[in-house]
Amino acid sequence: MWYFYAPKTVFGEDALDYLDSMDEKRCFIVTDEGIIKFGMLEILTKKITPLEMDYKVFSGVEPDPREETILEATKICQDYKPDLIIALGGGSSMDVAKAVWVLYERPDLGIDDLYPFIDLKLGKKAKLVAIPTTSGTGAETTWASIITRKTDKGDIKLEQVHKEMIPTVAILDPVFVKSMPKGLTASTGFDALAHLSECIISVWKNDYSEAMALKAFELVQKYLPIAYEDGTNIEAREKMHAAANMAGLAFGNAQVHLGHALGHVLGATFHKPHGFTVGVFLPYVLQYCLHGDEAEETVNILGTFAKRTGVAKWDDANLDAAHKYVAEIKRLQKVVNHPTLSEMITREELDEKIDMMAEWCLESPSAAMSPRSAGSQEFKKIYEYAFENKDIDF
Amino acid sequence: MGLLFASPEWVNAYVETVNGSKAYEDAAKTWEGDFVFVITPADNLDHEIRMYIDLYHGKIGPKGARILNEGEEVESEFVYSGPYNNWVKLIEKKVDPIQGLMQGKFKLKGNMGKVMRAVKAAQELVNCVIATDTDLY
Ligand SMILES: [Fe+2]
Repeated sequence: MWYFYAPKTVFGEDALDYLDSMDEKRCFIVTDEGIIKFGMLEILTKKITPLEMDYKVFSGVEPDPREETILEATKICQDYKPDLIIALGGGSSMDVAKAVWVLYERPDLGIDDLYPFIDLKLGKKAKLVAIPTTSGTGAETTWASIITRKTDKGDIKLEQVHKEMIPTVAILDPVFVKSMPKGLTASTGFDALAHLSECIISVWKNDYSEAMALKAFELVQKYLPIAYEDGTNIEAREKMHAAANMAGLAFGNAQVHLGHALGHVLGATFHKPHGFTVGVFLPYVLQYCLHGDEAEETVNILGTFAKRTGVAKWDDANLDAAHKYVAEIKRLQKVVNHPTLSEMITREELDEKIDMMAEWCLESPSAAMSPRSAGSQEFKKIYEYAFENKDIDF
Repeated sequence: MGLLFASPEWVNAYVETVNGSKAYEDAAKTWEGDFVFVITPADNLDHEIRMYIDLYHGKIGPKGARILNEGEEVESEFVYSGPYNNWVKLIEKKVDPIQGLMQGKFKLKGNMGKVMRAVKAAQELVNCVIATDTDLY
C-alpha cells in the first residue's frame, strides 16, 4: 500500500483566474518583502480585490524561515481569522504558510507536533492556496515544511512533514516567474533536478513518482538552459514551472535523501540558496548510491532512466548509462554556472564545521531514505569529495 | 537453527548484536530513550509479547532489554506497537519503521518529533534484528 498525494493543480497562462471560482472572503497572504518590491503581490491583490475578498498581508518571511517567524505569523492569522490562506513566494513562504495553516486550525499543537502519523483534520477553518514565484522547490505540492531552529550549537533545519499540510490548490501561473533573475533560475532549477533525481532511487520510490520524474527531467533538460539564457522566453518559463511542480509531485510522494540531507545542513550552517546547496551534491550522491554492495537496483533504475530520457543509449550497460546521467547533471551545472562547493564556502569554513555537519546529517529524516546508507564518516567524505570536485570512488 | 523471535534468549542475542553494531552506534550517538515494543497476536502468534529496551548513546542502556511478564507494568518514553504479521514485514524490510507508522501498520506513543530525528537509528535497529539469527513463529 502506498499513496500519491497531490493538491488540485492549475497551470499555464492566466492560471491565477482560478481564484475567480473561489467563494472564500477573508484571505491571509503569506509572502516576503521581495515579492512586494517586485510587484508580484500587486498582481495578486489586483486579482482578488474585485472579487470582494478582504485580505491581510504578512510579509515577514525570510530565507530559511525561523520558527519565531511562524509563531508571529500564526498570531496575526489567528487574530484575523481568514477562510483562505495564500502562500505567495518561493519555498520559504510556502513552508511558513503550511505551518501557520496547521497552527491556526489546531492551536493545541506546536511545531514539534508536525509529524506524519497523527490526524490533523485541517480545512475546517481555511483552505491553503500556494502560488509559487520560483520554479524549483515544489513546495506547493509537498507535505514538508522546513523550519530553522536556533540551538546552542547553531542553527538546525527541522524537516516537519504531514500529508495534510499539502496545499488545497497549487496555482502555477508563469506571470510570477518571468522576471526571476539568472541566479535564482539556476538554483531553483537545480532544486527541481535534485528532487526528481533523488526520488527515483529512494527507498520510498514508486511508479507514480517515476512517471512524474521522467517528464520533469525532459522539461528541465530542455528548458532550464533556455530560461537561464533568456528569461523573457515565456514558453521556457511556463515549462520550467510545470517541471518543478512535477518534480515536486514526484519527490513529495517518494522523498529525497542524501543530497537534501547534506544540502539542508550546509544551508543551515552557511545560509546559501537551497537549490545550490542540494544541486552541488547531486552528482556525488548519485555516484555514492551507484557504489557499494547493494547498488544493483539503483544502477538499474538510474541506468534505465538515463536511457528513457535519451541521456544514454539503449545498448549501454546500465552502470555506464547511470554514469552518463551523472555526467549530464554536471553538464547542466556548467550551462547554468552552478557554483562548486569550494566557490560557496572556504576550506577553513569546511574544516571548522565538517564534523558537526556530518553529525547533523545523521539526524535528517531524509538521510534515511537513501538506497545506500551513510554514516557520519561517509557524510564527511562526501563533503570532502564535493569540495575537491572529486568523483566518488568509495 | 536460530532463536525464536522475541523470546528471552533471542533478546539476549539481540542485545549483543546492537551493542556490537558500529552502524547503530554511529546513527544513535546522541539518542537517549527507552521503548516498549508490543507485538500483538496475528498469523501464527497467538499471544501478545511485550519487549522493553533501553537505548542510550548508541548502545543498550543501563536498564537493559527483556521480555515483560504478562500484566507487568513498566514506564517507557516510547511505545511502538503493531500486529505480528506487520513486525514480520518490518523484519523482511517490506516496510520501514516510519512507513509502517504512515500506513497505520504500527502505532507510536511518545514524542514523535524526537523519533523523526532518529529515523536512521530506527532502521539500524531493524538491521540488528536481521543480523540476529532469528526464527519466526
Ligand atoms: Fe529541495
